[in-house]
Amino acid sequence: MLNYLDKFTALLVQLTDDERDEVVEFYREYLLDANIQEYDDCVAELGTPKQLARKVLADYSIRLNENLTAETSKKKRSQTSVRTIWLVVLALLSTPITIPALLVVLFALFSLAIIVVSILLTLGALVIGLTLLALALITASIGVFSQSIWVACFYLGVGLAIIGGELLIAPLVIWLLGLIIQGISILTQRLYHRFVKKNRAERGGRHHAQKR
Amino acid sequence: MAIQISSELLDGCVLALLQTEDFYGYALTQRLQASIAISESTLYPVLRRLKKNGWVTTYDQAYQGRNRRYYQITDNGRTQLTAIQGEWETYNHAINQLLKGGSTHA
Repeated sequence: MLNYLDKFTALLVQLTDDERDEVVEFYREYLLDANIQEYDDCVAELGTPKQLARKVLADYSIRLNENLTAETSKKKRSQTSVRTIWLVVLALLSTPITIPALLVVLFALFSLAIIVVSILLTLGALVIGLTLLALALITASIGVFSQSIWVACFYLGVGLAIIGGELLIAPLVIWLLGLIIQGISILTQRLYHRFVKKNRAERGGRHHAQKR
Repeated sequence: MAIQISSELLDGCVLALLQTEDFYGYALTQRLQASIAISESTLYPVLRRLKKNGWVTTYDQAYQGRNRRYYQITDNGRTQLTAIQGEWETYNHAINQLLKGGSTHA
């Protein structure tokens, strides 16, 4: 049992010390009261330390996500979303599910990852390209300044307009990115609820009655 | 069971049990599992939330050379329980009407 709790504790690094102590103490007391000594019996009751830890963490984060309101900043919200995605992926990977289901989940996550990465790459390339173009135009305007002031003005104007346009659109793009991340967060949460098998106690809890 | 219990109802169930007597974690889980299918990983967040909202307090009591953490309902918890009971009464009535065939006058 100590071995089980040690492993469980070691997996809860994301929590604060207080939170970790409290949850570990809860399960230590639980196992003592249930008179469960052997490691294997702990696993039968609560799942492997990894499963229990992932579940605790996912519960924390998912609950955190549900409670988020307008008062939390956008940045924090997407950080929490990213954390949720990561925890749910880990929870899924540590859960015994059937191979076809696992393939579906992995494939879905993989496609999502590809889509997000391509969107990010496209946006990044666009921003870099446009910025370079604008800088080149501004440089060119300085170059031709002595020959034709009007051409120089034109280049300078177009260059500044591009940078201005970028700055105008930036908040919109960031907002869209946040939306995408939150969407993925919700999707992975659905996947989690759909595929994570319930442990023995959740399935019935009847075995306790027999023990008494 | 196909029907999942909502967290508000679970709060209500735990508060209702704590209204009769103080429970420690394992006993509370056992008592709940005697009636509904819930897991330890469900109960822990519930207790944490109840405590955070000030609806329950905890105290430790020595038991066989170790501590047991008991959960005790607060006055705010009793108020909350009454609120949940009221909401459930309304909801329960409405769902019963619907399930019996959609008539509002049974």
